[in-house]
Amino acid sequence: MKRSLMGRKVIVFFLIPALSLIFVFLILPGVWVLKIGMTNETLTGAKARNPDFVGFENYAKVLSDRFFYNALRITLLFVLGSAIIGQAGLGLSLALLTYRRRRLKSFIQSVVILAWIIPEVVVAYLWIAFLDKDYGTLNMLLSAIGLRKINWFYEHPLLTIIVFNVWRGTAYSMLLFSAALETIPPSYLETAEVIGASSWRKFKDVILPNIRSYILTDLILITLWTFNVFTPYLLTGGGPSFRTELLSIYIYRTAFRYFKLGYGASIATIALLINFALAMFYLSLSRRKRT
Amino acid sequence: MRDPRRASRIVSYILLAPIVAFFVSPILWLIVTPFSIRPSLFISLNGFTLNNFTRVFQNRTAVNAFRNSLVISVSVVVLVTTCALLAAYVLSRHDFKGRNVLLYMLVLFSSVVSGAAAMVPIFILNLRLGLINTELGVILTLSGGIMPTALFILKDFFDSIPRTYEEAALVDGSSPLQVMFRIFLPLSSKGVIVIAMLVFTQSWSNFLVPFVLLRSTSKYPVSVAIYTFFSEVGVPDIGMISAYAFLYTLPVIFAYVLIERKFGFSFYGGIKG
Amino acid sequence: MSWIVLESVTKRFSNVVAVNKVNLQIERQDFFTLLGPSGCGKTTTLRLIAGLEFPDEGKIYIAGRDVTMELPKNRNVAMVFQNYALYPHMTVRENIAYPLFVRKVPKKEIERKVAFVAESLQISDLLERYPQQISGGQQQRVALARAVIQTPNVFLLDEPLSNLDAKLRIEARSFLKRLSMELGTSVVYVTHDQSEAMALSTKIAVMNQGHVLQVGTPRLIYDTPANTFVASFIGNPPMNIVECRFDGSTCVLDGQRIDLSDLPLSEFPKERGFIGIRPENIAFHTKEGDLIGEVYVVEPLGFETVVTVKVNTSSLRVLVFEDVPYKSGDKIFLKLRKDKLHVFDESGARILRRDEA
Ligand SMILES: Nc1ncnc2c1ncn2[C@@H]1O[C@H](COP(=O)(O)OP(=O)(O)OP(=O)(O)O)[C@@H](O)[C@H]1O
Ligand SMILES: [Mg+2]
Repeated sequence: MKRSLMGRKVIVFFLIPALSLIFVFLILPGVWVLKIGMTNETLTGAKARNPDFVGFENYAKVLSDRFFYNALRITLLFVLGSAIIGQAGLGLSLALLTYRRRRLKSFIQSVVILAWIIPEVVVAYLWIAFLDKDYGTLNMLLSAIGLRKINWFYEHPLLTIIVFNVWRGTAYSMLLFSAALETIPPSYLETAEVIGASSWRKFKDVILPNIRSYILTDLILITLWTFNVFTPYLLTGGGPSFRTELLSIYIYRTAFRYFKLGYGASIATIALLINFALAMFYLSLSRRKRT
Repeated sequence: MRDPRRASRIVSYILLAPIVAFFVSPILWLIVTPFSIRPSLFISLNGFTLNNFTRVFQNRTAVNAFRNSLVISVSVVVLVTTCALLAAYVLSRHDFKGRNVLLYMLVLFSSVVSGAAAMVPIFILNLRLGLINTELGVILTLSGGIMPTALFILKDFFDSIPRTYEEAALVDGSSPLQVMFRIFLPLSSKGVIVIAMLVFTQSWSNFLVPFVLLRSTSKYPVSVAIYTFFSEVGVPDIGMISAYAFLYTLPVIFAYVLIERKFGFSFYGGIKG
Repeated sequence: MSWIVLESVTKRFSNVVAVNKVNLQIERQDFFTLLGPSGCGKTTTLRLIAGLEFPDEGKIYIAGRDVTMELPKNRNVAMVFQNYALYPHMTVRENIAYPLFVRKVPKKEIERKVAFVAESLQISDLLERYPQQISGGQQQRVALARAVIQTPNVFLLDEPLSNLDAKLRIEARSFLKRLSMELGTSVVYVTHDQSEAMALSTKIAVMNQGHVLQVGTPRLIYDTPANTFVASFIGNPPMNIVECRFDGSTCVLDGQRIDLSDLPLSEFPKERGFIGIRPENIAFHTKEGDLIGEVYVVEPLGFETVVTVKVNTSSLRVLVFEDVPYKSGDKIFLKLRKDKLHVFDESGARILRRDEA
């Protein structure tokens, strides 16, 4: 005798459009990729229409693929440098420097958020202009103070996209940490002040323990996002000579430049599995926090 | 009189100044160059002009891409907002078995199936459905990707609206549909508008999906068009590109300012990524 | 058949039984109050009648029709919610008109009725304002207006006075009583305030933990409560209920014996039991009485005075309407009005007199 105020029909009709879209364009591809990864499908040619099932052959190939290892290594450095050290570190510093200074905080936040919300293509071109070897603003400034002009994209390609990504993504960490600091009762810090604790001690003994869970949340999320970032492709195209070829860019090159869809799918599967692990980690964490 | 706080204030300004410069300088170029008479890659305003904008409107590809972007984004906004609205309403108001598992799965999949890796199976899916190089393929793909987040935020928002209004309306004699349109929608319009704007900025800014799924230049949205403008061989028309990028960025900034006015950025934290 | 009937209705929420096998018969002319402590299932019962919840077991009839599984709009009921639930995006006028509007009543008639109802509830000046722009008392009137404008089978009111301050509440209570007489159909009213229930109702159902313990007129419930719970819930100050040992027809209270053989009871408790007596049915005496005790505290409340008396380890409240010369520590005799004395058995159920069926 279960009856609902909405009626079964309404419930089903209301859910179907959203769920079917999600199912077809999100869940289905997410599962299907496992199968495609075990074929030798290509975009054109004989294997386009009738790909063979090759089992784990692709994965065996991936494991001895030096481009794969190169991409993995660069992705690791990229995540470590731009997300974990760069965004989280800078985000936390900015949150601390603007703590309890409302006008300053809202000004800094708007600047940082601006870098976050400008469409990625525009951002990419802004940086290409900014770092241009001959006319870029940065090099003009360097030469104005008597320094050598640097060809950033060729001399320090990885560093360049790391710095770029710090610029691009610090907003989230700063917002999260600012919100986290707000949750610390001011009396804690005031007590520490009365005792005469140094800034470092205040940070280590009062602030850090209180925002620890936020830091973990932040690190997982920005790792997940940075791992999937594709924007550096717009800056460097993965070059020079694969020195900025992130895993996402390598997948793109394999699947959509060389049209090896089957092989690309097997690398994609590995990337999605890493996503899965990070997402599970995050979800179990946020679940524990709620209960 | 010496205030001990003043010293630390000064130190913080000294630390913050270069960081602000770091964040502002690339953006400064976008604000200055479109109005510059002799636009270059260096930030310099040597005389004010609107000439660069005129050249954008004379460029067939650019104007066409604007139209394409508008078609794609508006379709995605309508599709996602409507579908997510209906589903979130049910998920918020009706507690059925497996609801939480469903929500959990949605969050999980939406964060896992993303980025270039997800584009491989999505490309093949569009290939099989005959949607490669169609705007419909781009619209559906973008919608599927944004839907879970929109659904989730809307559900959270709906949960915060007390049910008594709907119950009062039911007792007053409304049908369930009247409750939805006369009571619930007006009460939740603010949240729905915010979601619509978030969905708009996401689909408007997206580069990867149209870049992978579209082949012909005439179908490119602005994001892909700008990329081809600056990455193609030859001397790029810096003035035109900067003016174009400026126009392309404006709606996004506008939308976020509106969202911030209404809700503050805490609300927005969940969707980006 | 009664106008509204609940037939062994049960409603569960995951692990709580909010309403447990409830049977109610409500007549068309009743002002029927559901009374009980917080969480006893009053609101849930009301919502079951409204159709906002559906029972797990049992049947509900309104106006002779089985509406157990009907949507609210097919039941023709009007409800006033505890927090009024005035639609914040509509003006007062639109709020009041809404029930008629969704029922497609002609515009002219809506206008006429809104004007009439607003006039009689004295809110005519507020019609163009929004609910956020009027006071709590005014909101309550608007909520009433939105119900009164309909011609429903039943009016359902969920603690409509609880959000008002004490003074306004008394005023609104009288107003509500007056209004209910003109409604011409049954009112089901929820409250946890016994004085409100006594003042307004033609019938009261006392609930506890999902059960209906007793149904009857206020007088009946006041004079012959079915058990110790009802007895102690009704009346202010509440009935004195003390546990005692029974020795045949004698009640032994901490060594003092009260002879109850005059009471025409069908039986006496075997061993343990309770006696109950209302504070106004005890009188002081300086020389003799049924019990002897010591004055513990005297609380003059203006018109009446409440005196708490310790009888060994038990304490009894006495309500008197004249000034008392006693002070704390005075030894005093108490006389109990035997015809107003109740005896409850060990489980708390009141033992009937022989003349009661
Ligand atoms: N939607 C629900 N989900 C779960 N439990 C509920 C729900 N509604 C009510 N309950 C539970 O059912 C019991 C009865 O609740 P109800 O609201 O009917 O009490 P009430 O008598 O109206 O109390 P109050 O005087 O506080 O309003 C309570 O234990 C309550 O916690
Ligand atoms: Mg209640």
